[in-house]
Amino acid sequence: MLDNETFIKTITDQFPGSVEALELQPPQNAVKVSAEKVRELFQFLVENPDLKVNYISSISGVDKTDQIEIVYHICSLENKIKLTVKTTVERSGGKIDSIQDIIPAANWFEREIWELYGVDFNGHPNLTRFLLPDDWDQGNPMLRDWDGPDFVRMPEVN
Amino acid sequence: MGVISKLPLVLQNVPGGTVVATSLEKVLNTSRASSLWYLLFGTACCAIEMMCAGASRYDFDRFGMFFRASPRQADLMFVAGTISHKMAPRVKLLYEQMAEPRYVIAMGGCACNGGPFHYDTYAVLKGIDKVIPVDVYLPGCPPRPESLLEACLKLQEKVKSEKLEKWSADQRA
Amino acid sequence: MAAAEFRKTADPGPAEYNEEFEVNMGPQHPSTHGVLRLKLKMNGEHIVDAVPYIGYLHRAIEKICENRTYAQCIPLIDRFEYVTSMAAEEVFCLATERVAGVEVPERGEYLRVIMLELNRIASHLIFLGTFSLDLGAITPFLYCLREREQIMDLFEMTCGQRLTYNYIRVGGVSKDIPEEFIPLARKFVDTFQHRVDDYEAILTENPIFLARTKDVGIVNRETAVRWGASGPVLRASGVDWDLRRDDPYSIYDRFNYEIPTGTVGDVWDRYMVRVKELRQSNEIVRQAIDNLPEGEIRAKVKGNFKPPAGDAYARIENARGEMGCYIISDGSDKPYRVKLRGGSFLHTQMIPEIARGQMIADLVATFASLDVILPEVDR
Repeated sequence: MLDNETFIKTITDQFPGSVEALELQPPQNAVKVSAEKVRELFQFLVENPDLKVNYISSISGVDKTDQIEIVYHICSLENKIKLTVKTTVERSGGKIDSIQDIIPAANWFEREIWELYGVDFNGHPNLTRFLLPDDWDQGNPMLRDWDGPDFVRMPEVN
Repeated sequence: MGVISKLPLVLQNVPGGTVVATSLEKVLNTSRASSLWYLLFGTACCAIEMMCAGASRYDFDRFGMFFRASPRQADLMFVAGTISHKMAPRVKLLYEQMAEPRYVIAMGGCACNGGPFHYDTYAVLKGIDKVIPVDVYLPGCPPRPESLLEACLKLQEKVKSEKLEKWSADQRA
Repeated sequence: MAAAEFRKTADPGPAEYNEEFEVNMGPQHPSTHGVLRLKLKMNGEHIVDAVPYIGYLHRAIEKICENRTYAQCIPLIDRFEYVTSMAAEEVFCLATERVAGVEVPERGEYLRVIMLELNRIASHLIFLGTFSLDLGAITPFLYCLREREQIMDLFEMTCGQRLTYNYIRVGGVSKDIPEEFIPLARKFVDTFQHRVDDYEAILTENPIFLARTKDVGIVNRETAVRWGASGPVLRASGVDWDLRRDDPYSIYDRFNYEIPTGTVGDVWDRYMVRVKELRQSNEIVRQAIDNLPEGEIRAKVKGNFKPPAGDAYARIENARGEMGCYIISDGSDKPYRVKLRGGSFLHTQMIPEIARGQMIADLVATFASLDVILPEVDR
């Protein structure tokens, strides 16, 4: 059974300089990776026979107002170990490598982030309208400063 | 049963053309009101309550209501659930595919005016009456099956009170 | 087995008739359980390719949650997964409690487990009913909804709602159960085992049912893991994985229950896993009622609840697989970001993988056996 410290150490040792361990509150296994290395990291996580981290729980986009953070929650069904991977891309015209050919389950998550946050996934075969109407032309609605003609804020009630 | 026992009483007055015309209206309206077949169409939470209303305990069949999977065979549409901007054209299409006379019950807060998804969202249509005409509004999130039955009774009242002349005028228009 | 042979040997006809055409299925289609749209590329009755189109129920719950306080979020999260609302509340509260470091009192945890498992039963009953309806059997639907109404009664007397409960709150539950709950729940638990026998008597060995389900829509072990399947779909493919045991949350380590798995991963296996889960959940409810302690039901949480800055991902084993919630708090009274993940999202994504090469009538059975509901996909 893999314990959490050796697990994080294995990853950070493999990618010195580009992957660093994160101390998050509440405590969890987390690493920060630069956007260029995401593909290599996932290749390593999936293919390494000791880790076998191949199951995607979720991929979330987060608008940090100055950049977009992409958070991968992944785990291993064999080792029962969880990992949070964080990476950041630029807010407008951000680009990152797709991992959908390594783990196919990532396909729709990436498509959703492309649509709602405007992050471009290199190598993704199907970046087309997903959740929004086919004739949508109002930009990326999950950005925090997004506004549209039909968008009504809830009035403040005291 | 109601029709059969009441019909002779109405027809007693026969020597006068108008009386026959009004009672024909009554016959037609009663038969239409007591066999409203609804379209099996639900989008969100309300659809589950609609299912419950059609199942064992609440039993829609008592009102002569039964689900139809095709809009061509349905008289009544429950808009059960949230309608997003993406779905709205499809709802309109479904409504247009139904044969006249056709009725719509807006079931639940979302169909009435957006309900809990009225504010702060970019995707939800704020009320189904912006797309198709609505006969009965049924608030609740989701409404209980009993209130759905109440809405159907209200609709039956409406159907029963319809005038034949108006109906045929609508047909010609 | 005649049906299986027919499927293999079904003659596509002379080559000049082998012409591909497209069929649109949905968004309004009785067997898509909501508003999924599938574009099917067909060759005769065989499916060449299937492309799911989603978003017809996209309501932007995640966006709304960013503008609501934590307490106001819970009713919205209910509507994210309305068939098992309790589970949706639980996963949101679990994530919030992890960020805020709130401990739930013992009785609160027990009440949560009772409600969660009753809700799982209610959800599986909806599955069983609609699944058999899709295969042409109406009787099980009426049977299942009859038992489901008893569960709805229990929920209603506890929190006043039949479907969207707003019962599980941050730090515990909103109300204690009324006096008459325990006797009624016990009565339900005692009779329900026999009810499951009834369903099985109608379906499990029924030759028509077997012909429609055996060796249909096979998801093998590798496909299931690669495409992120979870819950009964993953277990039916032979992967022994249940978050209640493998990533423990709440107090599930105190109960005795088995985790049923399948072998082949066909429609029948998925049906069987769920039927067995009905019995196991029933057992968990029984044990929880027997051991229900006295005491507080909710930890002290301030009215103006502001968790410290931080982020947490919580996941639970829902009736439809892994349900996850990722919450980022920036220290204010509103969550900075709420991300919801439902098992159906990934199961819908998997449909083309399973559908290719199938006959169109089998697609209906396959899709029903995945037990997808669309709000989980579209949010």
